[in-house]
Amino acid sequence: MARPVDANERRLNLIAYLDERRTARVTLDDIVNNVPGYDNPDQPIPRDPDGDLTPDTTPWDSVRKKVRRDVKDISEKLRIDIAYNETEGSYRIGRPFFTPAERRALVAAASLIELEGFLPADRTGIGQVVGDDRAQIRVTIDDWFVPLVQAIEDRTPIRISYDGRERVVEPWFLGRWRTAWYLVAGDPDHDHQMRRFRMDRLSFADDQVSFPVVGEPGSYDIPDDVDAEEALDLDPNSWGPDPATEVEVRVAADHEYRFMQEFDAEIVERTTDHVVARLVVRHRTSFVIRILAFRGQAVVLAPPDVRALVRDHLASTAGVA
Amino acid sequence: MARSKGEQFAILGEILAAVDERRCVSIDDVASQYGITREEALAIVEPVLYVEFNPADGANPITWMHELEFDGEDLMPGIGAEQNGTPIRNLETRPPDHDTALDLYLSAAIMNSLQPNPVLATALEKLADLVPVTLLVPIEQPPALGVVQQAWSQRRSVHTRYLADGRTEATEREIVPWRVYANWGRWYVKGTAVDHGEERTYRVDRMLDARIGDVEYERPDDIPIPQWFDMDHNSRTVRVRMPAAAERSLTAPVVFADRVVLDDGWVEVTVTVHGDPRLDHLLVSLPPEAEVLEPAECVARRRDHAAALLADYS
Repeated sequence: MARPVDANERRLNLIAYLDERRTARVTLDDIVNNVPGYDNPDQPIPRDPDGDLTPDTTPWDSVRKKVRRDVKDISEKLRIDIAYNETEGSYRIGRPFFTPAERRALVAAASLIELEGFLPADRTGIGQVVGDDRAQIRVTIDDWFVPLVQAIEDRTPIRISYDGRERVVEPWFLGRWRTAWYLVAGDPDHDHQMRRFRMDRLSFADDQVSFPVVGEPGSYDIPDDVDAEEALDLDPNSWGPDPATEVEVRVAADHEYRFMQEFDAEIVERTTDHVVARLVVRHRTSFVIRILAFRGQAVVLAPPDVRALVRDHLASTAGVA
Repeated sequence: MARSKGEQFAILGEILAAVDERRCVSIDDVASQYGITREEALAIVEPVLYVEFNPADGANPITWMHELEFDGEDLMPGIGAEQNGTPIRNLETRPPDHDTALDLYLSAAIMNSLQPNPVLATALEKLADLVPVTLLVPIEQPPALGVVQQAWSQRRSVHTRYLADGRTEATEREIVPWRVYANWGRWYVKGTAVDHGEERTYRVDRMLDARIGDVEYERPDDIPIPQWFDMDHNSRTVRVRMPAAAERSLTAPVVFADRVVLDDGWVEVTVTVHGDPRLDHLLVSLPPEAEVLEPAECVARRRDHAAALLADYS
């Protein structure tokens, strides 16, 4: 006697069977004949001399409804759609949204990266059940993240309070530069020019994160000629107001990597104890301050006017005439 | 409260997905997650343990894509499922819901910036249709990271020349890496130095070189990624008077407090940094016309540090 088949097992059997026969025409007969759980020995479906099910009988109608209920449950609970073709009288499982390789890659990414403060831990869906214990990378998602993403998706202008000043912006991109999040947005009051806002300098009334909407969704387009990576390059030497000046700096060998992290430079000379790095400076004030962080391990060699800039700053600070 | 068959089916789907994604799931964790008893959890998974079926049309047996094994405590993918199975989530025909798509998009974008991968790139393209937002979350990979991760996975120590914060010269270290992780955009190793057992955190980008050492070790369980570093013991605070326009030029991380705007476009503000090297840097970063108000010793400290640096420009 056949082992009784649980309803959930039957539904999974149906998925497995339809998955195996993606290219075939699978009828109700095929399902009843091949998938355990549909053929009810207590209520056998009448068959014709060829062994095919006889339609429009009570048992036939009952099993047809059972399959339809299962198809509906599978769709609702497991997000797997099974289409019924009325003309052919056949069932076909849909094409997966992600390929198996894509899903594996997404699950691997989700297992290595913990997005702290984003989705609740008990959420379901691809990659949501991997644990944080394997995470190697944590990215903190603040309360402003989801509403801001929503504004970008909807292309809705919003009001922000930045450095104590209220302004309306058209959010374009979000991203990180070094250790901080930045918003790149258009300024509707100034011909939609690009502006960048460091997110930890935004303030919210009563500390409640919200972005009052100022306009309808779809109110603006993100300009095609704006490159997100360039927009989020916040190195002062990329956007600074001063004339571009090529500068050479002697850097102690142990500080080379740190220097190259700080500045977009190229090494033009290397000895056992130091390197000479060349870079373009476009923001002199920022450059002086950043070079002083190396505590004498990075010293400006040329040009003379930039070297003098650092020297004069230090001399004035030291009280040396 | 008893769960309906439909609810049980949804739970079963999640369990199957969890086993596939995590490879091993405790039955007690399952019960706890769904608010059911261990017995109820077992009843839900029982029909899908060790199963395959033979279709009557004479084709090969259909190995259950969902076959599970249960050792009395944990659920794992069954042998058949490992060899022939199709994880249930691979069959999802519908795109993920918005929040899941955003979550996946972020993870995939970060991962793809670390290790570009054509498969992940195509998944990202699909997700970008669901989440039409450009998010850039680059995470730098310091040169020593590969060796450190290898040492961690082999449970071996790592030799490195380490340039500690504020030091001018690197020193030799041998570190036992308990956990390697990135947080706040930087990579860290939590572990101990071989020559002393004290737990420390090291920044991988300060490792000037790295090679796998000879010391083998047992990795402690449950080394969490810290939520924050407690730097309070290292904080240094000064009160300064300076042009307001110069505040922004001070490099992070600095914390401003008690800001008073003066009539002449200047401000008085209390600035906190962490550690003596950052204090020194803050003091010489101020515009020369700025005044250090307190503590008094920082006035001389500023002057002396500037004079020391000036020697390189004489």
